[in-house]
Amino acid sequence: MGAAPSLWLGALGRLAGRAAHELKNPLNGLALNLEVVRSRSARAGTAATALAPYASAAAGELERAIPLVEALLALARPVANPVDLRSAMRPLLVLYGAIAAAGGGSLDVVYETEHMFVAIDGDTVRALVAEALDVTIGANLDVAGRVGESDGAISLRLVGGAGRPVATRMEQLAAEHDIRLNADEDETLLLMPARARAGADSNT
Amino acid sequence: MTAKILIADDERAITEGLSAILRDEGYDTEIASDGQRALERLIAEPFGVVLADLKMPKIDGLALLREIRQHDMATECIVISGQGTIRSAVDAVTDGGAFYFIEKPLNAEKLSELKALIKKALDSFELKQANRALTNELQALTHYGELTGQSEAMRTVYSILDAVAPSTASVLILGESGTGKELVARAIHHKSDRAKGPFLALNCAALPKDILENELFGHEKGAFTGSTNEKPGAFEMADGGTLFLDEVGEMATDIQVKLLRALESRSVRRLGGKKEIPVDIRVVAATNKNLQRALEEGELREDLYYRLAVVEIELPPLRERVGDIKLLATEFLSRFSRENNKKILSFEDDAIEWILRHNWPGNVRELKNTIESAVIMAKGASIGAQDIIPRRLRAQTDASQATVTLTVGATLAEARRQMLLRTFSSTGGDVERTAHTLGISESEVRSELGSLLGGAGKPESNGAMKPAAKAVAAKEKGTERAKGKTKGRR
Repeated sequence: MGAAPSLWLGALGRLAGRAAHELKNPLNGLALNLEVVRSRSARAGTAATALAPYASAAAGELERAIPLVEALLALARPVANPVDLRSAMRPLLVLYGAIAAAGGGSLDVVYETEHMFVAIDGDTVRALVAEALDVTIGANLDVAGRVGESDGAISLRLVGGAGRPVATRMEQLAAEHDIRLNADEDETLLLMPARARAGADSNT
Repeated sequence: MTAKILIADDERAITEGLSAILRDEGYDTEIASDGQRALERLIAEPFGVVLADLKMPKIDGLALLREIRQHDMATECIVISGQGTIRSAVDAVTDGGAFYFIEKPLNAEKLSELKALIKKALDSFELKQANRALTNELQALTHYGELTGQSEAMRTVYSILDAVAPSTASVLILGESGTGKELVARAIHHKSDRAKGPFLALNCAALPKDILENELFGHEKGAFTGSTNEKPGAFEMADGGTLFLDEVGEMATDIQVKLLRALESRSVRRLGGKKEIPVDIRVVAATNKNLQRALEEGELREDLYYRLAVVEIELPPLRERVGDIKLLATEFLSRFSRENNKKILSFEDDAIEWILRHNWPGNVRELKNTIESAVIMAKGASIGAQDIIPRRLRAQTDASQATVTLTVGATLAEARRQMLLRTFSSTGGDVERTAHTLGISESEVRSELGSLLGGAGKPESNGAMKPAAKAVAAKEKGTERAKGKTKGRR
């Protein structure tokens, strides 16, 4: 196994651990409200209307849990080539967004264009995007991101984050692919080469 | 009634669901949506259990636990977290304090576990509350406000204070210097309806006549050379509260006249002032003078005396409440060790023997200062005789063991007690020699010493007894003899 798949699997493992924790809150709400419905409905004379708020709360919690599970499943699947950065990032943003929200913060990313294809393999892209988000997301922090393309490069800029240092192995992975990845107090920047336009167009 | 449960979590679906489940179980619950709100509710009223999530806005679960410990709340904590590995962090915050931990999500099995934990935690809370109530009751037996003492003499003082404090009566406190007259005055103030008002203490002996008059009644601007501003006096500043006049017997007679007038008219006139300023104060006065002589010699006006002494409280000197000496000494040791960052836990036998034998002419103040000095000077983990006996008294100590000093007015029983104990001490705890020296039987010696100490300190079969135990026995006996010295007149 090459460096990229190995690093991506490591990043995925860490993310899954954190995301599973965030999954516990909606599951907890779901379990508690279903328990109220179950126990009260077993009692004679309980009006259905009295159960409705708890059933509704349980449904709401289920709605919170589903995107997290779907995102985890999406990350277990390989990314289609050529790699559309937006598609590759979507499940990562769902999970890191939940982690940020649970810590009292937020994660909000805007895209300048609909599709942005990068000239790198899927595992490398996801490993480096996950690292960029990982070093940025922190408790009580509102992180604003922007994804854009210019001069043959696609950039992901994240502002307002924790500015933790990037792991050496991720820096090495980035260097191998002529990618820039650095994080400081002001900004985390991931700069990747864009796929040649003609090739990209043929795949869209 | 079962204590309430506080559910602290920012996840509404969780708090509402959990609250419904617990209410169905018969518990009274309340919800706090963040740590700050939870802390406010916990401070406002006692909750038996708090169920806290670790991740919460404003104050997180760990900080909440820390606050609960710092406020010394009896509330039991159950931490509900999605992170099983957080347990060690919680351990660190609570510093080993009791808490329970349960991991999310609460499926049927964990919910049953939580219900069992809540029951256990509530039992623990009730036990803690009962324990605290007992401790408070015990504290009430040995303390009254800032006063410490469990002797009969002090209990009599406490019962007088209980009766007097809520009334509006003026109180005159009598007692030797260092017996705690100001503490009694403070206790009266704090137990009265005026507790929220000011408490002002003025020592009449410490100030020259003119300054005392100025301090008492204040002055208007220009009342005398240099009085560039008006100044309210103690009467005005203590308005709505209590004015404590210490050493009132030292007050010049012309000021006594003004004081009497102020007390009777319930108003004062500042120096250089023309208007009467109404004041609402209670006066508590104190003196260490021989009042009878002061009245006979005209040092204290009789009319003022009757005005001040609506109720008279006589504080016993420390030598007449010897049963309190060890309690006081232990409290001072603990307090000064803490204040001086030392870990001195006890007195050595020879130190406690000296403490109990010393006459304490300076009363509690002398005891306090002596122990503070000993704590500062001590090098070890306990206070020895060499640490506590002041240098000026060391030479006298050996000689004094061979003598008994009795104050005129002491009872024969007290004289007998001192003779018995001093002789017993000088013989090194030898019952036979004590009996021989005193001309009484050994069984009398054993009986009198044994009855003081109960089973624990009875002379051993060879007639010996530890010096400290002898001293304790001696002083405890003294307490019994000294009771009934405090009087109150209502």
